[in-house]
Amino acid sequence: MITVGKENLYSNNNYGVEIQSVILQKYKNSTRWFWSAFTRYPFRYLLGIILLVISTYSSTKTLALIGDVLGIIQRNLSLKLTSFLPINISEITTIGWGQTTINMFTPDFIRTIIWMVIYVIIAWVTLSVNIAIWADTSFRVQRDMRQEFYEVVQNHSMAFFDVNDSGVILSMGMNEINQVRMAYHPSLRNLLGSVMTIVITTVLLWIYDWIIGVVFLVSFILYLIIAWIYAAKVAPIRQKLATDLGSMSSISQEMFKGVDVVRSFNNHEKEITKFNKVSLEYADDMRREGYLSAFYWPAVISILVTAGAFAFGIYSVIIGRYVSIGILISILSLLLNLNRQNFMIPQRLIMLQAGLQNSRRLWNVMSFKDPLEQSETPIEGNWNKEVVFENVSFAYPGTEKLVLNNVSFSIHAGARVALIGGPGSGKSTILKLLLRLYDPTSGKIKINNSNIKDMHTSYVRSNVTMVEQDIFLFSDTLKANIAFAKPEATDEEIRAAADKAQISQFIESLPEGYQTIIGERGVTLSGGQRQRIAIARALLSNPNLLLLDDSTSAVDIKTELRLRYAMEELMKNRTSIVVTQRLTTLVAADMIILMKKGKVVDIGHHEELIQRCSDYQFMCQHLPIAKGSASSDLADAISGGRD
Amino acid sequence: MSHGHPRGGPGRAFGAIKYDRARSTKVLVGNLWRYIRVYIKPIILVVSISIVYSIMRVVSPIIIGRGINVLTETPSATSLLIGLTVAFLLLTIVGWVLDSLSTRIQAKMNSEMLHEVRSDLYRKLSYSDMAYLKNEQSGNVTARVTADTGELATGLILFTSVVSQLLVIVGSFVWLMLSNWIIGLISLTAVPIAFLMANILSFFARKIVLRVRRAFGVVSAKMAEGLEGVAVAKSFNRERDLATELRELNHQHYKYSRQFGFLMMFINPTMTALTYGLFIAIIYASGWINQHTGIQLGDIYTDVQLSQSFLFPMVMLSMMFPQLESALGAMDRIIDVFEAKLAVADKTDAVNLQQTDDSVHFDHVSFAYTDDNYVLQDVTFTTNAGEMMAIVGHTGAGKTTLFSSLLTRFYDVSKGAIKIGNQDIRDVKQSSLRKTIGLVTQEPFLFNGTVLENILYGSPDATRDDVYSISKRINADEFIEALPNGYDTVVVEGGKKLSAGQRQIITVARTMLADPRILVLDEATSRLDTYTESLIQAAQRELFRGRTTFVIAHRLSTIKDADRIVVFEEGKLMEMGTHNELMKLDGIYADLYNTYYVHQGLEDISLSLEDLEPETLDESIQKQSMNKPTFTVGAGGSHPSGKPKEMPDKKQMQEFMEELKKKGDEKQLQHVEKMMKMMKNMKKDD
Repeated sequence: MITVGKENLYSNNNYGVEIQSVILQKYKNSTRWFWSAFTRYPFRYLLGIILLVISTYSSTKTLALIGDVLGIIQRNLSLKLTSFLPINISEITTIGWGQTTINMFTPDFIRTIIWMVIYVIIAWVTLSVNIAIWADTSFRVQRDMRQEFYEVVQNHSMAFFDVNDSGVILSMGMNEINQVRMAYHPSLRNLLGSVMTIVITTVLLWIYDWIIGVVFLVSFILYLIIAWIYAAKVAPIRQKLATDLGSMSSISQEMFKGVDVVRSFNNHEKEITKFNKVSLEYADDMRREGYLSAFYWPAVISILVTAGAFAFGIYSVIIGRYVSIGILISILSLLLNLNRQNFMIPQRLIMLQAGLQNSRRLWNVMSFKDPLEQSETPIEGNWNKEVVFENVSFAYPGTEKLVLNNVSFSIHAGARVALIGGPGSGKSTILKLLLRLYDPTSGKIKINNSNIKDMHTSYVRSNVTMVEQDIFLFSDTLKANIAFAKPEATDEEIRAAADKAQISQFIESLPEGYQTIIGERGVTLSGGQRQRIAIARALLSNPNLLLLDDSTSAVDIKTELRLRYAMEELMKNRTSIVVTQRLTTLVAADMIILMKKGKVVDIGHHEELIQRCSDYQFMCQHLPIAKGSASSDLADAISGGRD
Repeated sequence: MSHGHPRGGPGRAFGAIKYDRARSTKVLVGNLWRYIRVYIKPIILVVSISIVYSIMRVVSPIIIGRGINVLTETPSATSLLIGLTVAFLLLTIVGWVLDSLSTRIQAKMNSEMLHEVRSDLYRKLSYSDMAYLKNEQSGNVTARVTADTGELATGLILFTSVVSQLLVIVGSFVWLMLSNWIIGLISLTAVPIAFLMANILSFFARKIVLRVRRAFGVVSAKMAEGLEGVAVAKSFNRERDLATELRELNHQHYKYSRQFGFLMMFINPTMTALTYGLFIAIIYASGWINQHTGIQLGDIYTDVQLSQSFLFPMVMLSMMFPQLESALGAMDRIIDVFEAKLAVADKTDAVNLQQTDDSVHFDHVSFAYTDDNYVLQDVTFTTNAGEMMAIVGHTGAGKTTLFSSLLTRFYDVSKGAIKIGNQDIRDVKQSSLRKTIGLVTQEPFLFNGTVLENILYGSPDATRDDVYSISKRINADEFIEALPNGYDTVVVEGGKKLSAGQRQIITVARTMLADPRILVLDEATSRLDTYTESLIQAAQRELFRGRTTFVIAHRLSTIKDADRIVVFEEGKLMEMGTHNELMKLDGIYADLYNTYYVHQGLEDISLSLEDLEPETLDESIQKQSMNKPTFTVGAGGSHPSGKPKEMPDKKQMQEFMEELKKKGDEKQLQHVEKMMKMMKNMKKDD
């Protein structure tokens, strides 16, 4: 059995079963996932239910005993009325100030009171323990489901993240999972309590008066059905309110974040209209919900039943069907108690419905059909041989447009390859395919004749490392960020990597050194520093194939220089593919692949391309070297030879 | 009354965080009055209904009790049967109708009022002072609009509920006292017990709720970061470790939640037990009373029933007060917004900006965001119509403030004046000013929507073809067409799938489509790769022709294209002229040029690593990122700050000199010394 929360969900074999298929096979659908709480922790919930039965019985019984004890009082009082007749002299006592009265504290009165106290204590203890167990278990379920959701979603390929707002996914993982938990605790527990009160009340009523018992049972079943239908009506509005609020805050956040853009285009009113539309929608749904819950028709059923029982009870007393008025009082106490519960039931039902709906939404995200499939029998490859693109075409999942169109090339081991092309030429897509973030739509990517589609993604990624242009660092220590590629790395290894990446000096100059926290709660690094942290990270991962997106923007001379040294270190002794516009890199490359609109235009050395390829000549002319600089002689620069 | 109650339960009640209000309750309610005033009739109606309803809740058990009394004395009256049943039925049905009615009225009233407050607040914020919006995180501002208004609405519902609960408590207690003083006193003893318990519990609950919240926040931040950085996690095969880290935090959150669950277990069972204990005591006491004086059976019944509707409302009330308090706190924050400074307003006699003269005159302009903290000092210069000016200077020199904030009149100048043609920009309508000026900001900001919608943002009347043609003219078409769905590609999360350079191209297209006569480009293409930028620059030259253009520049080629170059340093205009003039001057510009711009064309850098002085944290970046508004949800990761510059400051230069001295690099040393001297001279000139 897989226990989330305590242990890792992944199997120990890195390339083994995927978590998504494990979860999907285990729970099949959202309903079963929602109800899985009971199969996850069956004994705890069973114990909870048993305790609930005991506590409900005890508290209901206490209420029923009110009639009994009042009946006894009534009997004792009637004895007082008749006590002038010397029938039962022993019950008449004389007390302090000489008044004659009756003993109210007859043994059955005392006994009933004691029983009531005992029942109250039992109810108190069992209900407390029940709540504790139920709450604890439900919070466990919440923890486990949240973990499952996160791990499954995290395992989706980039095809998922490209189209899904991570803010929305986050709010699902946090808030909607909370909703699911609330369906269990407190809703389901209270609901079970109410249902049990109904059942036990029915049994007790049956004992007092079977006619009332039957009528009551039938009408309460009817009541629950209508209440469920009612809840099903309200629940979607509740859901709608939540989404309204969500879009309201995203509209508002967007506007305040981009306020200077809004102002510079005179678009205040447009933004206000956009907001007002959602706000009005929210108000409308809020009103609808209020109207629906205002006239809660099922309540009428319980009112009528109670009134009927009341009339029938009085009638029974009048005709002498009841031996004591206490029976009427017991029946009334029980019914009025239920009327109080009455108001709780709809709210709980709505929350249960909401939990079910949320779990459906969560399940939909979890069961995302991933276009990137893992092979069931993954293979490995020899990375010291060539990397081949064989007629690779690619369109982003869900779109038609081919961003790569029939791309073929072959890279021998240890080669330095430069990728060059205009915007949207497909350069960065080639890198993403090599990292197996996506699979080609058609064609093959081969490492020494093995298709990487047949390899496990984590195997591919342990051999391939990419340094992106927009660098994502975690808000953690510098050390943790560098060691992200290799968590078990020693301090020496980390320092060596930082040193090669030309960042160690800077890090050591900080008061906290490698323990410095970066990001929102720490220091902010400049673009150049971030880049070199990423290079240190990549150095530690020591990949067989390095992918480098080096589309530099303008940096100052020092940053530039440091970056060049760092990159040189990184490319040493491995196959590398660099997206670049740096003439030195182009000139030094073993091979240049020139891309245009998703197609390969030409492949070759710098000298070859500069001779024969007009696109390449055009690009070279537009690289900064050609203009305005001290050595503006194009011919000089481009025939500068290789170092 | 129950289903009209606000949701959230005790957790929410205890979660109400104490907040130091700036205004008294009276002032707050006074402010609320303008919204309440409109609804005064329904409010009176709702309150009267709840009074009637509360009385009925007390009267109902009394009637039943009376019935029982009659029944025990004359157990054969059929008329009594009918009378009592009708009375009971009437009371409950009427009670139900009244309750439903008041819920309905409240639903209408509340939703309308909430919308009004929200809408007013949003409008106010939309037009409020730029500094206020920039200093507050966008998440915080949003919380004013969504969460605080919601809390206020909850407070209003609570208020009517408080009235009715209070009435029930008082009514029940009065009856209990009247019916029998002994029973009344017994009931009274339960009150302090209930209060004490509520207080002790809320004391602990507050602490635990705070802890749960914090743990929730930590889990949320971790998950946010995991989702944002998912590509990196995948690249390095670290998903499993991130999951483990989350699991630990998740478990911590569970542990605190469990504590809260344990604490809550006391409230309901104990209150129930206390209530039941109370009526058992009443029954027991009634035995004793009967032994001495006498109490009728029906009255005992009524007492028992009323004692049950006595303690729970009391606990409810004690939970409601913190919520009411937090509603008032929300109101306080909302009023803060209403009273906040508005953005600069149009003069009453403001006119449209004339379309005749696009020359721009800066006339002794000084500016401070806060008192006397001048970021711009006495800037004076004139730009001719159609001229292209390149603006250079270190980070923090005041370039962005002058052109992106003052020329656009997001703020008014502190001293001096800015004129377009012969009109002071303070005398013209802002709408006409902003129609004239096109601004491309440093950070490319995209709205959620398609690429097409984003380009159309500033020109709603433009057609699809207009968008195509402008994109073609700035050479952006090739790139946009390469996107998965071309112009209809949906921008997710401000464009997370697009590179920063791609986002910049779109913002340039957006501004150019609006066809402004004066252009401010604040490092508008700094994030593009060199090749793309050179393509776009060639096209831009065409577009700039005939427009007055200010380019805050980072690229050599742009500067060289400019008619004139303006050099800023520490808020002051230091040098102005053409490239050649400034180079001849051999001042700040020449220095900047030599250390920063010139190498952009050179592939061989003459420096070696050993020549470099140690790096330091860039203070200007630190400050900027602190003020950078961020989404609260994505609390985790840190994206590139978009500051590609690391220019030397004086301290660095001194260090550099020391180093050069040590190495004995005479040539470099002389150069740097000259630079330093020049800087000193400039200071004296001021």
